[in-house]
Amino acid sequence: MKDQCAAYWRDYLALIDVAEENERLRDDLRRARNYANLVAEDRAELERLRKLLQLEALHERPAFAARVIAWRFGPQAAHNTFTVNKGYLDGAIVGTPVVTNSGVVGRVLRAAPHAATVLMLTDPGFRLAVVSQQSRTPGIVTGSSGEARRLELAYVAQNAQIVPGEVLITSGLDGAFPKGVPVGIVTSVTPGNESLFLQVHAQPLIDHERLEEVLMLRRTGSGPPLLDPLPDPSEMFPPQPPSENGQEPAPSTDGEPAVAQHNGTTRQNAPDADGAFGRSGP
Amino acid sequence: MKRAGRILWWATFIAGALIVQQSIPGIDALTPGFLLSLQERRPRQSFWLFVFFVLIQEGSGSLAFGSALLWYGGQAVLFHVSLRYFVADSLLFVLMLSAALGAYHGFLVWFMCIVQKAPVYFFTLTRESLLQATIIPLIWGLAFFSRPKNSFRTV
Repeated sequence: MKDQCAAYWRDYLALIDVAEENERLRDDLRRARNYANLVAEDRAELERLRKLLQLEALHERPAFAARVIAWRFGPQAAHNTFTVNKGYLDGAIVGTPVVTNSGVVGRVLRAAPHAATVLMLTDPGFRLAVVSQQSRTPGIVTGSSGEARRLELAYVAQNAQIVPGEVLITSGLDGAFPKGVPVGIVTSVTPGNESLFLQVHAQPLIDHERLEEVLMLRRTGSGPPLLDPLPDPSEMFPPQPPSENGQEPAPSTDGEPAVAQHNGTTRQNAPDADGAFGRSGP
Repeated sequence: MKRAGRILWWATFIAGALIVQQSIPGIDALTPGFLLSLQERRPRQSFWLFVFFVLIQEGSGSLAFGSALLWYGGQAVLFHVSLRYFVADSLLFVLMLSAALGAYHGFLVWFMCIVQKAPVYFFTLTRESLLQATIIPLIWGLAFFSRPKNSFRTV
């Protein structure tokens, strides 16, 4: 009898709201699918616009991983640094940006062949050009000598619209970090004492004390070429067979093949290894 | 003490000192060993320790090259200057030398930061200088009493 009552309760009475809940979940799913479609459409549009404008996507920046092998160590370690197991032979040259999937970690301060010292974002000697994500307020972020997990945002104008809670991202103006990498969250904004600038404090997004692996971003050139490389003239103008009397064929009188033959640089508009123009060839 | 025993003792000391350095950032735990070697009046041993310690500290530091040379070189100079006025094996000598080395540590880091135009963190620097001055006699005491007495040479 007791089991029957329990089964009746479990199979009928307790399921009264299930139909309603099911309908609500179907609505949620429908809305989520619509949202996903919109996001996919926006994503495709973004890809097209990027391609059109020849902008470099953030995630397309070549990077390589490195392991943290030592923390600040010894009397000569005057700055907030750590050591990674990649050096300049691996591509970790001085100034190389160091990030994780959460945000900026620092940059390479000095490099050995197979190890490098990374200056952390929280070091007071670290400087990075940033911009706030919502109000687009520019500033220079630097570490704080007082607290380990506090950043200071310098040179913020008094009339800036920056508010606590805004995310600071790299502005890309320093030429090393790509634009849009998260740096920290604004924690306080106060008027500066006897200063032309606001006093802005932030908290880094990275927990620097728990880092084990980092990503090091390779420096890239100026992005994709503005013009498609010209095809190889030897393909456009295949060498003519020698004439019957054994003489070399006379150079063409029109401009392009002559340039291709005499200049020695067959692709003048093609980018060089760095992706830059006008510097290739003698 | 035989040569192999001495090498083993120094290897153990260096390993222990590096563990201490790892757990307390900013201080030098190898310095008491260098002072002990200077007190033993073994120039050859002191020279090799000097080279080895300089390589370790220069490689792990973030200051420009030369700061570890000045650090251990300054210790040797300070030690020999102090020998003119104090008995080298006394605890008072070590305490005074530790205090002087703590101050020297602060000055040297400040100087090297100024030279390479890096910011100086006075609070951290003062704290680490005091810590350095405190930790030298402690490690020196452990090393001194664990070292065989026949290691010391008399002049």
